[in-house]
Amino acid sequence: MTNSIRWARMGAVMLVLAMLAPLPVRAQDGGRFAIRSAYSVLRHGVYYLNANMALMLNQQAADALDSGVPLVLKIQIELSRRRSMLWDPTVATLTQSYRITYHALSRRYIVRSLNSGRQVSYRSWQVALEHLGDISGVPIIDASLLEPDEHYDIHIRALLNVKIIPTGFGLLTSLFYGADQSSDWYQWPLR
Amino acid sequence: MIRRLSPTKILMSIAAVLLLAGLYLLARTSQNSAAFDRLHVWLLLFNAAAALVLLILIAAHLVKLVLQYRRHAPGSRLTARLVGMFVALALLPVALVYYFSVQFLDSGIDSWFDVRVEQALDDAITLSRRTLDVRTQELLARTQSMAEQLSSSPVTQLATTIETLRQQSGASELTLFGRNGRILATSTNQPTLVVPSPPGDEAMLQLRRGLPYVSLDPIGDLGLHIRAVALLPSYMPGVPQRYLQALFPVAGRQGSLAQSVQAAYTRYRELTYLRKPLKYSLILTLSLVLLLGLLAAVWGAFYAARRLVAPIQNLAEGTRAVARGDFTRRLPMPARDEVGFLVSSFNEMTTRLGEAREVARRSQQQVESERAYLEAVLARLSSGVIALDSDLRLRTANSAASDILGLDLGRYLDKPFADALEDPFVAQFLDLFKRHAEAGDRHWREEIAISGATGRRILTCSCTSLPNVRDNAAGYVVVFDDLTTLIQAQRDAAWGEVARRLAHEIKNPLTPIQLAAERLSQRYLERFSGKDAEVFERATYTIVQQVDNMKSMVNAFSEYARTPKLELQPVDINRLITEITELYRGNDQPFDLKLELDPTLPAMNVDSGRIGQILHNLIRNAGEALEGQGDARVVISTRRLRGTTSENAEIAVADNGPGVDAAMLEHVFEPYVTSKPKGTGLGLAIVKKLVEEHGGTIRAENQADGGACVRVLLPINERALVRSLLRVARRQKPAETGGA
Repeated sequence: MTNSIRWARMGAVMLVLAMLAPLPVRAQDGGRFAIRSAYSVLRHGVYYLNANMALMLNQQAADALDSGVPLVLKIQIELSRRRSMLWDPTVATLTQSYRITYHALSRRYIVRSLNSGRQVSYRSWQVALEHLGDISGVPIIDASLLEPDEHYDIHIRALLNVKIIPTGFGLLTSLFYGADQSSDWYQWPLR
Repeated sequence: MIRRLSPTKILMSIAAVLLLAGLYLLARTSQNSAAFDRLHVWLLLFNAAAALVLLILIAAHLVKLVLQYRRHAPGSRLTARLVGMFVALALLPVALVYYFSVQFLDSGIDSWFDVRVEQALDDAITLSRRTLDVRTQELLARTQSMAEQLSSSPVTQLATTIETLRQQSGASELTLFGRNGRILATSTNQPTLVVPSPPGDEAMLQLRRGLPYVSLDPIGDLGLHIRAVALLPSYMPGVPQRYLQALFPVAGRQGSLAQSVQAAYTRYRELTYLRKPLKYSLILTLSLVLLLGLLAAVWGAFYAARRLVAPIQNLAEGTRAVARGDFTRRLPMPARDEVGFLVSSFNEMTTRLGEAREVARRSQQQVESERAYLEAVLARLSSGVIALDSDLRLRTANSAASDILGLDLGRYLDKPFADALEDPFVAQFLDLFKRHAEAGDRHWREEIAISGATGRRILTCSCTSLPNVRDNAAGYVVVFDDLTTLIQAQRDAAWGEVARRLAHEIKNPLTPIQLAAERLSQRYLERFSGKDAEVFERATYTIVQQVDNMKSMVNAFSEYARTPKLELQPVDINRLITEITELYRGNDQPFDLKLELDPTLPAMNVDSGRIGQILHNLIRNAGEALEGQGDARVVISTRRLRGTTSENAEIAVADNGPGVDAAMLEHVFEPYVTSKPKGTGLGLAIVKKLVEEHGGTIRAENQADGGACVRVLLPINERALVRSLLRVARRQKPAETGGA
């Protein structure tokens, strides 16, 4: 390959990067998404989940919410079968989704469960997230569906997305404001 | 007529359609079209990838063009000029459109977010809140009033009372809660609602403090409500605290206005929040569209320039090919326009040139063929043939001419023949030629004798002028034959015949004469006495002695005439010379014998006996020439002579005697030619005969520092030997015929 062609290719890459350069990507300000504790209990042949999560919006997400942009909180729960040599296959997944919006007239934050449609309002998003972060007695799976000789793990994490229509703006907003948040996966053996 | 599209054009068309579709969808997405929301990222990536591909294509074209420009490839300058022009034409309007579009977008979007509008919305929401606050306080007071009424109501009438109160108060739902949030009684205007909406934690916290709770609460699909919760007065200690929750819908004109203000405020705040992403999204889309358009235009400029220049480039390359002599080049036909006409004319021209060259090539081939045929004929002629132009430059010479003149005439081709003047043969030949040329003889034939170091040679020479061109002789053809050997062979044959007849006619009566003289001496000598006897004895003795001499002479003649078959075998000539000269190395030898032998001389197919006889004769001849000389010396030397046409071995026998008289030099090898007082005069004649039997030549010469030298040339290789022998046989045959 000649030097000229190599320089031309490098120039092309630089041009694409230059096109994206004006987009300011802000660092996340404050906020914390973490699983404080989680455990499962077997009751009447059904495994139930109890968890306590620290959900604190960063400034960007809080601003977005106060600006009327809805936020979507997802609690992702996965059950995987443990294997020694191969990857662990996912046996069951459960996602609890909540849409959080700000009602300017009443100055209240409305939390609507996208799974059940139930809606509750709170005077602050902190209170709302405190309630959402306290999970108690969520059924995960029927024990009869599991192999008795196998070992299973439960994974849980919380995700927050800025829900913007159209999604193209969402991409750019995410690039601009860095409002999306997520916790690490929290894992423990199913007992 | 439908033209079939090439795969490249089909691919280009598909790429262009895809690109246009991508740009259209991207534009639609940027206009908040929900239909293409999910495609937005993919469309961005697709268009960015298309831009990258175009950029790579353009870079490749650009690099290729730069390289072509640097090596001055035909058409590269025109291509560069056209590309530059196209790019400038495309870039200027695109830049203008881009600049003004960005300005318009920036100012246009900013104009949406007017401070006054924002303030108005804030005021509207504040006003709505105030209005609702007043309403809220009224409803809270009403709820407290209903709580007091319920506190005095018996438990059995609670349901009825609540229903009555709800209808009177205008609440959509009225619920009385007991300890731990247990529902004691409820009334609602929605029969489908099974479970009433419980007060939240905030309300409970407020109640625990002993305070009533009221708030605006959007409830699902039911819309905005005012939730008021009030404690029922407790008159008896220990009775659990009860509380009443009332939900009042914000209905009617006030409700719809409140919803409208809420929706407008939320949308405006959302738009304000999305202001920057919106602006950048539109600018990015616009940039991408314009970039793609510009890149497509640049690439199109390259494509169009190459298409325009290609026929001209082909023409330039075709012209170069014609200049190199390649008339087979045919150019592809472009469109049927002026350039197409030019290309067609070029193809026709090269076709005709090619045909003309083919005709010329065939003619030249024919001439070459005839020339080669002529040269083959000339090469096989035994006569020498040379052709000279009017300036006496040598044009043609066959190998026989070189052989006869003993000169490599190939070196003098296209040069003045006078360059070979150092050769005496050529000098004398040219004198004769010029004499005839000056005399104006156009055709002449003459026998000439030319003298040189190797003796006298006789040539028959005939010269003819070539056809005239504008009264000037175009040249001359000279044909000549060397008659020296022929004449010599005739003379040798005559001498051989003489010798044979002498041997036959004279030898026979000699013996009776000798016997008769001896018988006379034996029978009649005793009859004489004194002086007579002495005379008689001397006379018979003289007769016998002279007859002996005559016999010797006749025997020598007989030897000369005899031609036994040669017995050829490989012989090391140097070794043979060494062996023979050993016989002459003794104290009684009157001369000093010295050898100078060439070690590179190979073994040769010769008759060793006859070569030995040659050497004996030559050494003896040299010795006789040195008789009486003080520092007599004989030098025998050999040399390997590599000529242009043959390879020979030279045996030279030189002495430091008085030499040979110049007048005798050319006759020394003829019988009876001798300067010595005794001897038959046949020694050198026999030597010459033996040399010629081996296909060789012999010549005698006087050396510059005194003394004579006899040089014998014998052909080395077998083919040359055979050729020489055949030539000897050919020469002897007509000589014998002539002799007969």
